[in-house]
Amino acid sequence: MPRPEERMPPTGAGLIRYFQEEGSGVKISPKSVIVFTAAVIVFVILLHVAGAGLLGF
Amino acid sequence: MDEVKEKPRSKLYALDPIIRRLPEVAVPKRRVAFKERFIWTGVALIIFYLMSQIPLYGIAQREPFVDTNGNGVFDFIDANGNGVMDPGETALEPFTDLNGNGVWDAGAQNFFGQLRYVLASHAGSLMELGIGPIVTAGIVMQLLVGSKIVGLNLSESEDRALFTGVQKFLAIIMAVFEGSMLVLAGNYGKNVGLFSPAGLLLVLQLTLGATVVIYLDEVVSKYGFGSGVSLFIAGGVAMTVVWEALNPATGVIPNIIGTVLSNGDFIAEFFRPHLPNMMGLIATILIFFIVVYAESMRIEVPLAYGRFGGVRGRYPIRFLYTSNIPVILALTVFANLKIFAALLKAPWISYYTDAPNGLAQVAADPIRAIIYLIILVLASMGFAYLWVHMTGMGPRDVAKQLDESGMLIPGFRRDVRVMEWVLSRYIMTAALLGGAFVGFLSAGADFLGALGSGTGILLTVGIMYSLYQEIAKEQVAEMFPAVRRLFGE
Repeated sequence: MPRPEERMPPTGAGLIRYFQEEGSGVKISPKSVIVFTAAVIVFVILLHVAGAGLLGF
Repeated sequence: MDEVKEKPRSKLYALDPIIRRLPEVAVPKRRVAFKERFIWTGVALIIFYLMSQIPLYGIAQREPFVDTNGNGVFDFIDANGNGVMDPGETALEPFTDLNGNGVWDAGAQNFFGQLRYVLASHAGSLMELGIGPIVTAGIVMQLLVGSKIVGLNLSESEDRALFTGVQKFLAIIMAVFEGSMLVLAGNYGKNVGLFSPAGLLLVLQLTLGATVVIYLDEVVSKYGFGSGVSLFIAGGVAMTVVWEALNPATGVIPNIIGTVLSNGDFIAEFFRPHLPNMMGLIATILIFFIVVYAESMRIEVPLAYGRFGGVRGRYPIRFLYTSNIPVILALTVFANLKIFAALLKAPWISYYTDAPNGLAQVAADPIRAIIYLIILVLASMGFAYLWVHMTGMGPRDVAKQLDESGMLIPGFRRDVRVMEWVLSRYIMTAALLGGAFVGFLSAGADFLGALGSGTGILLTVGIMYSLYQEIAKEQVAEMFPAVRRLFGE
């Protein structure tokens, strides 16, 4: 028997609804998110350093 | 037996091939330890702060200015309300006039106004879009599901997984769209075309920044406390409040200490125009306590479990049933009005939907303040009503869900319509009064000049309150493993 609370409707609104379901996407670890973030930051910093010379704007 | 029918699958399953190729943060295999949650939350917040300090490459030169009140934008009296400084308008902060045209030239414009706090957006940085794409995608998805257009059934696990996947895909598309719109609107310089190399590079940077936010949000919601979205809003507002209160140049507290030590005009500190003042600090603290109190206000509808006589439960209906969503939606409309007003060069359009900030501005035009208050309260009530009905939170939906899980309200006949009638008295009252309340509070906080803007404070306090509850719950579960069973783990 499911506990009653588990089937309760939401008691308040949220702009976004979060579910803890495993989706069908390609699984990545939280650490690889940090690696991706670092790569984005390095990319933009490199643009500031070398962009003007390479791209000319 | 012939009742078992294969229900039609949602049309959204057509997107499954794309969703299957999108990376997704793995669900933790075991319980994430309290300390580990703390670390992931902290790491996400630090990354967010870091990225909000990295300027985008390729934006028109923004003239340097001294940010005396630390709100991150150049302040001036925008007489015609078009969001940019025009000749004849008065600068409130000193700036360096690089091209000598007499006005301050922005690398990025500030159409968002107060919405910037809601979207955790930082002008001209990698965090320009902030959580905008996620929030937009979230709202669109809830409206699609609530209005039953896409036929997703969120009580089924498979549909819930698809919902999350499609929402993420939509958020990335929104990032590309919003980034392109900003470039097109000339936000980074009038001569930057969307399909020029500079324009495309800007859209790429904005999309990458937003994608980082989307994945950080996923990491925090699975491995940390709360969600990334709420963390970034609260983090941005908290930083502004601390800066406005404490920075040595114009901060409220250093200034009032200086005034007291030098026997200066103590009362004037309460009403400094155009700068954060003592009144704003008091308003911030006041709003904090009012919101904490209102957050915990609820009506509990008693429930009984139909098939098992003794089992009883309660369905709590919060006073802030739709939370602060009505104000967010109202301000989104106001921000769009401001863009229209600027495009049509008709400032009157947005004159009464622009929040007067601080008592000085209220005193300058009290009629405007009153009209703004009335418009915001009415708009918030309207959006609360719409949100309840369009996202499946209305009395009919709640009654249906309770009935399907075999609940009934003791003392009433077991009938969905009866339950709907009983619930509607509470739900609609809470939604409308709650909507009016958050609208009133947001406007009131702005009139008093609350630090970090009225809506910013409103949101942040709500977020911190629920974060506090979650952390407390996690800590108890960590210390007393037996308690975990109570939480159903």
